[in-house]
Amino acid sequence: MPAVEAEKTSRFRGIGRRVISRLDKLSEEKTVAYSLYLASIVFFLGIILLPSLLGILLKLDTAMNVVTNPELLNRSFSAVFSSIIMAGIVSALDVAAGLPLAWIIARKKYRWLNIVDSLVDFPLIVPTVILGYSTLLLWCEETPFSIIGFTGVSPGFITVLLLHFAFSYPVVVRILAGKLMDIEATYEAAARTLGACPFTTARTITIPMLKSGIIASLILSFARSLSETGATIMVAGSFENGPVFIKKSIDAGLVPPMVFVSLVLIVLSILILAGLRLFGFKFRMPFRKAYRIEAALSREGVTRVRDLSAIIIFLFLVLLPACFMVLARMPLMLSYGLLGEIFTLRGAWSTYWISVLNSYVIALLTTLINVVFSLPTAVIITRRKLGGLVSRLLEALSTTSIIMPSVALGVSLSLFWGASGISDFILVLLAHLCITYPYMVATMVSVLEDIPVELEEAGRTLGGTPFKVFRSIVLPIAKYSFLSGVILTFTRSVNETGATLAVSKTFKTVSVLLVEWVKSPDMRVEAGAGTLVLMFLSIILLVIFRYIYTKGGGGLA
Amino acid sequence: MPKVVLERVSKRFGRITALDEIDLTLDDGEYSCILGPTGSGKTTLLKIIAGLVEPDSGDVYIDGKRVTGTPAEKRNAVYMHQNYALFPHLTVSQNISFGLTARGFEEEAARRKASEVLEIVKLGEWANAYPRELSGGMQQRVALARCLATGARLLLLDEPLGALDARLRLEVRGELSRIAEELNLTVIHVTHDQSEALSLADRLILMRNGRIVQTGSPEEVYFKPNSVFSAYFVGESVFLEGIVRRVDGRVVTLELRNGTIIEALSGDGFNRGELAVAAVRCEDIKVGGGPLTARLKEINFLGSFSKLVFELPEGLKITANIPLSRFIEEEFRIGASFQLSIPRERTRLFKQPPMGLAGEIEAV
Ligand SMILES: Nc1ncnc2c1ncn2[C@@H]1O[C@H](COP(=O)(O)OP(=O)(O)O)[C@@H](O)[C@H]1O
Ligand SMILES: [Mg+2]
Repeated sequence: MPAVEAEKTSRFRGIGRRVISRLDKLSEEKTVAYSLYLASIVFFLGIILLPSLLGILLKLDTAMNVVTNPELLNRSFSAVFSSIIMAGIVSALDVAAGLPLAWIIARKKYRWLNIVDSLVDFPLIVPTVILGYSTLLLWCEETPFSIIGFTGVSPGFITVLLLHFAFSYPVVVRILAGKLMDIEATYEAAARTLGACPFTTARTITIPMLKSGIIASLILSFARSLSETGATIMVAGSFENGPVFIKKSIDAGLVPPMVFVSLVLIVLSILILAGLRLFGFKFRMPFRKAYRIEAALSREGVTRVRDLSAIIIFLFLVLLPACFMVLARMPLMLSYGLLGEIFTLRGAWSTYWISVLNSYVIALLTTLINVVFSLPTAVIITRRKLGGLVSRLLEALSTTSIIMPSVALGVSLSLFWGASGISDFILVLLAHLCITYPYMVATMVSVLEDIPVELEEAGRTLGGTPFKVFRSIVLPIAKYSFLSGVILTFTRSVNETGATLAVSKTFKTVSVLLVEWVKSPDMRVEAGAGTLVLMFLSIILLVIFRYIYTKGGGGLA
Repeated sequence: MPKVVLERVSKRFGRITALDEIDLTLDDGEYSCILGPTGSGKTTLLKIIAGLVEPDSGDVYIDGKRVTGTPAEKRNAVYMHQNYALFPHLTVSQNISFGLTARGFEEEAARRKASEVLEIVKLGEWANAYPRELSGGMQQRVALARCLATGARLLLLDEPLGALDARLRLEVRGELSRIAEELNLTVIHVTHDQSEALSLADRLILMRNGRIVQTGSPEEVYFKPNSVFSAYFVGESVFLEGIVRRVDGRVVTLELRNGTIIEALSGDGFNRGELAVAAVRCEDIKVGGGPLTARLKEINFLGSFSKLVFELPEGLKITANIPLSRFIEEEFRIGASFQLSIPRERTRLFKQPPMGLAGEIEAV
């Protein structure tokens, strides 16, 4: 290394070190810790919770219009019912189908499985509305399975189910695989030598240890299914759940259904999710015996079939829909020579690149801000820093902004911030913070829950400040789960459309732009090309990010 | 110099009182052992001194400075966790350096210091291993080295030998007291193993249900237990319940349940007709010659000594320990009759505990 460069890096290091030691000093102060807790609670209430709910709270009186109108009331309830049923089925299927794949990824037996590992994040990169459109093409309009006699289904319950499964499945696999990697294989080995077959071991040892991850997965996929609007409308046909009903009413100029349905959905799902947390953590797998069927299920043939079906499910129900739109448009793209045009920065493509830049800036800021504020929140929740009641409340309320139908969230946010005259950039950032905050908190909580308190105690008694203990013990131990939280937040921000559209007409993220293109008949091929490029960019970004993280951030003592 | 004082320290967890108004003073350079059954509050007490748990009330002083409320990392007291809590993602050397870099050492200096300390615990060649690659005994030594490296003068050890096998335990025991002496450390060592406490302690603190039952040198506690519980938990005793029949100066005559009469010396005022418990060390019971006739029921050969279980009339059992030399010389046959005596100068008499004898020693 040339001398100048070396000096530069060492100066850089010096500054880094000084910053770290300042933070160390600061973290020793109890007042600093409590100010941080306070700040994170203020952030949560003032930036996340209140603005999300305000639009609804302000129009609370209009909810009566729904209650007094039997027809609206009926439709509202049936929409809420459909939403909850759909979310329940989706989250259950997600965990059932996601667990085997997470297992394959975490306990990789073959090197080629690394490919599966990288592909899992792939559907997260695709803007949800594009996924919706893609789903529609794949299963209804241009199905490639016509070769084997499948002529496609008409849009409705099934397509919504397929769509919701496709966009929430990667999240679940990410969380569970992260968890599984953090759980040491020694416990499994111990159980195996004690005579338990793999299936029994999974049931009695690994899955109970995985519980916090399973609960986090259920909560996130449930909430995501409840709130997704844009893509759902695209594939809903005559099926009508909460968000679809709200969107239809708003488009028809009716606000009361939004207020009423959002309110009922929020209350019901907070109850359901709180119940899930409460009973989920109390629930113990029956331990009594090893069932004979478990030995049969552990046989190599059976596990191979299971692994294979997990991979097939992933490939056909998740990965294929994610890229089908691009695949279907590929021949046209090639014949137009579009791919060469993309990099010319002319016409539509300059708008495209600006929107890509917008998206990444927003996603980066969203992730950073959320890490800073959701960590203290997660500490309050898991370490009961402000008492058990505050923990419970905070945890239950922290999911509110992803339970809400995203249109309703968008409307609510623009009502709250709209009058303040802040720029559209900030508005979009605020919306993205609201949408991704619960993901970050949920993953942080499940990270912290699994770190033995004794390791933190050891760090403290050896003289480590809270910040030092966090950075050199907690973070490295939980790095896979932490990484998955960051990836989730980042990708979710990049592919968000519903709320972004609702808060700003002028500031365009790449997802919003692609949705516009998809909807205008003469831009559909460009939409395909744009999606393709976005996928490539995101994959490169994810790979770089992952590389830096596993090489650098982990081992710092 | 670390001198530790606790004043009326209490701690509750919900309905459980883990510590109940503890007063305690430990001198500089002293090796204290806190002995007590599981759940008696030993860990809580240690963590309160370490600053890992805040007491509900009361104060902690280290070196004459009030440290209640001071965070753990600023106390200059280092706590070693029951199962070591080695950081799984760091090597042995990095584990040991942790406390040093936390104290502002540069990485290089920390590593050098770590390898010095590793020499003290004789693990020099394992510096780059990960904790999971070490045996239990080695992990224990790494944990100890990690504490020593911080340079803290007050060492708080929570059952440091609990996870080791018996042989190793003896070895490390010697090591511990050597290191404590050499580095002139003040050590508080929690254990539920009496022989560990007896052999290591300058001062022994006996705990039960969140209270301190007795403190003193090991000899004091051994020879002058102040309660049935002390006599039960330290050393091995035979307990005999009876009614006080006569008080003649210091000599108290006790009639046991089966009518057997024994005598004990006691300073406390006992009254005739009162219930009392006599405690005799198993090794103080004389086998061969004496007023009591008993049948040998059971022999436990334990190497350096043997445990003989005798039965008095009506099923009253007495256990006597006899040295190996005697066990070899004489013939002890199960079923045979023996004469026993209980020397009155070695018998301690206690008031009947409120929950009865069984309540006192079975609740443990
Ligand atoms: N964090 C805690 N939460 C609830 N109860 C606790 C906690 N720590 C200790 N206790 C209770 O306090 C009592 C004393 O515990 P401890 O100090 O660990 O005892 P010891 O170390 O002597 O076994 C026990 O009854 C234990 O269950
Ligand atoms: Mg303990």
